[in-house]
Amino acid sequence: MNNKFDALKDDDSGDHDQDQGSPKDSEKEKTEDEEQNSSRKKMSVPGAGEHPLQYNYTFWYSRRTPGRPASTQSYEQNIKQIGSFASVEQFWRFYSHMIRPGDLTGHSDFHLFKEGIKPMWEDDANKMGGKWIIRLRKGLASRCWENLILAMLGEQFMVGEEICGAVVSVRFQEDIISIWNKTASDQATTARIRDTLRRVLNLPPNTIMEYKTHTDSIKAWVDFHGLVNPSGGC
Amino acid sequence: MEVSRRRILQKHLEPARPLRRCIHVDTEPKINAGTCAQALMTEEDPETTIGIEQFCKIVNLHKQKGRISYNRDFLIGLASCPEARKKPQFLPEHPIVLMEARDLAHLKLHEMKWNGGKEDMVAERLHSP
Repeated sequence: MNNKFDALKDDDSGDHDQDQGSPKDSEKEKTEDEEQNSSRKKMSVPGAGEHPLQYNYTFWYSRRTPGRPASTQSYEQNIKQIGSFASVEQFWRFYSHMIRPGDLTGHSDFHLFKEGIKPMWEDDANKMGGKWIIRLRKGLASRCWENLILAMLGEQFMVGEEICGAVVSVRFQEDIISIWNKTASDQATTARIRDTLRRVLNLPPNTIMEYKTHTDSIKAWVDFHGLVNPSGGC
Repeated sequence: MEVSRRRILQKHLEPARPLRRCIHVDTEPKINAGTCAQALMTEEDPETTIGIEQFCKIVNLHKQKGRISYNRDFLIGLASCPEARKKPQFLPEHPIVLMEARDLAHLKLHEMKWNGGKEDMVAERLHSP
């Protein structure tokens, strides 16, 4: 029963992503899309007797350094991998050792993405995609985030391979949760994601949900900052 | 000519008769739920005969349907098991990382509220569009 984490990687930094790209196939079935982006050392595997997940996932955390304008900061520098997991039990191990989003301070985000997909607009899996955004008043983020990621890990969205990951963004006056999918133009998929979101988050019918394509996000970012240095995030 | 033709026919038909009789006699007295189901299955078999390509298609469809899915309650039920409370072996040192597993009792608490349907679960837009 020991050493459940033998196969878990030590992803303490995104700095050395480049030399880890191993095309080695995992035992889990992966689509070509998911294989394209290989920022992993070794795939996580479920421990004996654990409950496997449909996909492996990676937790990320990012925080904007206070006092510096966003346009001068590299998103990739500010984002940090916390760890990857392949089973329900492994997920809880990470989750219970991280603070809740509601307790985060400053301009920071938790990201939970399928292993191999970076939480960035430019990632191959994301570049044609978009996200559903829900703005939450303060105090709701932790619970909404929990319900969102539990639905994602438990494959409740039923949109095949479309889901890329989820983000909770802690901001000054509000918090934002979002879920990213691969194909922004696939309306059947985005509608299904929206309906599932409503159900799992138990949102009142008048909640405003906004779908944003990543190309629009990039455009808005460039317009606002006047620099061509866009990256993921809300 | 005629005689020889008849002989041929007889020769061909003869072995078929006892076989048919055999099946008839053997299966009839043994009918129960099991054999009934079996009979139904064999009856349906010819209709669902499919080519290899079609078979592969069906297998792939089932694979997609056969995703590993868990509902919220099941996932939360596993949160308290000892395996889920261990500290991950590789955990970066970071202000958001806790040295000890935090209490996840709130999950169950929320669930109770959730089921009660009384929770004030309002997400709203703070910024006017």
